[in-house]
Amino acid sequence: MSELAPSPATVVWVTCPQCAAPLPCQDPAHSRYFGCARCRTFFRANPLAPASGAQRLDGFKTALEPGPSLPLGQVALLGGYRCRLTGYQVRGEQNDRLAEWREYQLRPAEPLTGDDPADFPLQLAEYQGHWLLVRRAWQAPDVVGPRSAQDGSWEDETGRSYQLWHRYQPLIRDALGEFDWNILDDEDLRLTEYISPPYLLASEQLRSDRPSWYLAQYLEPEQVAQAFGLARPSLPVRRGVGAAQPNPTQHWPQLARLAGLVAGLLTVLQILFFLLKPTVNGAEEFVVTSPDRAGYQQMVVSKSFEMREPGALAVTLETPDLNNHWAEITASLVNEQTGRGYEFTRSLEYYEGVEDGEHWTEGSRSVDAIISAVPAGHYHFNFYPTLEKDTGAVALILRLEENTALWSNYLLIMSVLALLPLWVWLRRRSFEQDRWSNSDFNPYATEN
Amino acid sequence: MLDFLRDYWLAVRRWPVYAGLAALGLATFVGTGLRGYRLLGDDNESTEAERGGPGSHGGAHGGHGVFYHK
Repeated sequence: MSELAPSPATVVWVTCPQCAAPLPCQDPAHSRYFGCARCRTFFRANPLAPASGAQRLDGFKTALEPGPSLPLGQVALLGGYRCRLTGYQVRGEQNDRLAEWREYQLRPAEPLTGDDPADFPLQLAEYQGHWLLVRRAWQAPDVVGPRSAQDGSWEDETGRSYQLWHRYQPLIRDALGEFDWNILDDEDLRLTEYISPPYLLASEQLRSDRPSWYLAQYLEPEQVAQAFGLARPSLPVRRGVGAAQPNPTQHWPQLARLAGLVAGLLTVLQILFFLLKPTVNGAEEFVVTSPDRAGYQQMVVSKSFEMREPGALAVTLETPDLNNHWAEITASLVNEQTGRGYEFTRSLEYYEGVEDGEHWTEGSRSVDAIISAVPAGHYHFNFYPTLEKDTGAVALILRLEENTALWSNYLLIMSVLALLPLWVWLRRRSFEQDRWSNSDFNPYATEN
Repeated sequence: MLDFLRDYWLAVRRWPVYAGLAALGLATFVGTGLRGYRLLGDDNESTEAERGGPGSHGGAHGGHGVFYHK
């Protein structure tokens, strides 16, 4: 544990009533309570009237590790003031033996005209490497809407949405330096904390008195290190997510708005395609037969049809008479003006029977294909069917759907453009789950 | 209405890369939709390109080559 180092601002010294160690007092006009760095005694004294003597109030058993990570007496620019770090205390909760955090008392480093601004006392609080700059709130929050600040969540007049974070009674476990109030009295307070990152609003209430409000703002460790002229590694390592730590995806609402607009535009465009490029259906029926004795297979030519505008063509081939045989059909779409050909081959097979009294079927009598980006023009199909030898004659039905709706394009682009919003949303949710895992009022907790 | 547009402009400024990707995606969707182009590919097995004129259509079946079935 560091000894208190006298600084140039030291004007008086107080003496510990337990071990007689001299303690520097940086702010004799306000400080009345002291924690001895040598024997851990907490006592009351008036540095401006040393003859009145010091009164021992309590004694802390041992110095708690790791001790203050900011040097007492150090001056820093925080909250718009040049402050001096004058006191350090370790606090816990009366109902939680494990919870433990550190608070640093800050006093003006140079005389301020008039009374202390309402911001004072300024405090720095550190829990698991997460820092909060705490100042007195000017007034109780002005809650907007029907809810009260006692409810779990509410909105203040500035539009910040607060959520109930924690309720506890503090326990003082260690104290060093000087204080302008008896910190031991704080053990009778009931604290309620609400968060709206990067802010944390706390109310302190003694029995049924009117609560005092404090507003804390999250500080990055780098900000604290820079304010005190320290190296970042000298501060505690940050663990987990702090109560008021800003979510790195704090611009999620803008992304969600943008993604919603894109999804809406895509859907509108898809509907426009339906309206402006209506689907045209056509059908034709042929008869195809097994190869003749010489092994030759007939070719079938469809009627000519017109694609009025470029688009996708959905083709369905059906052989409703096919039974316990297979057929393979090569379809060749020919542009009658340019001679350009499009081709695909499909196999059909359909088998059925009865086994152990149960009817079974296998295969399908229908296949389909899509040919995309077919230019406008006149076309016909040439079919080259190959049937199993003893199939005989079967009907072949051709069904066409011009300008068929390309749902795959819609779904593909929608999916690709949803990737980033989805990733940001998952990251945001994971961050909030980590944050709220430290709270008794965790909205993500699953009910058992 | 102005607030509505301002909100979207703010969103575009916050997420310029996503806004650019979204514009590209929408343009692609419109372009492919007008041409009837399927992004996931189609079933055309022909490797044949445009033949270059009406005079070439007499040869019956476009790109159909030798067909074999075991």
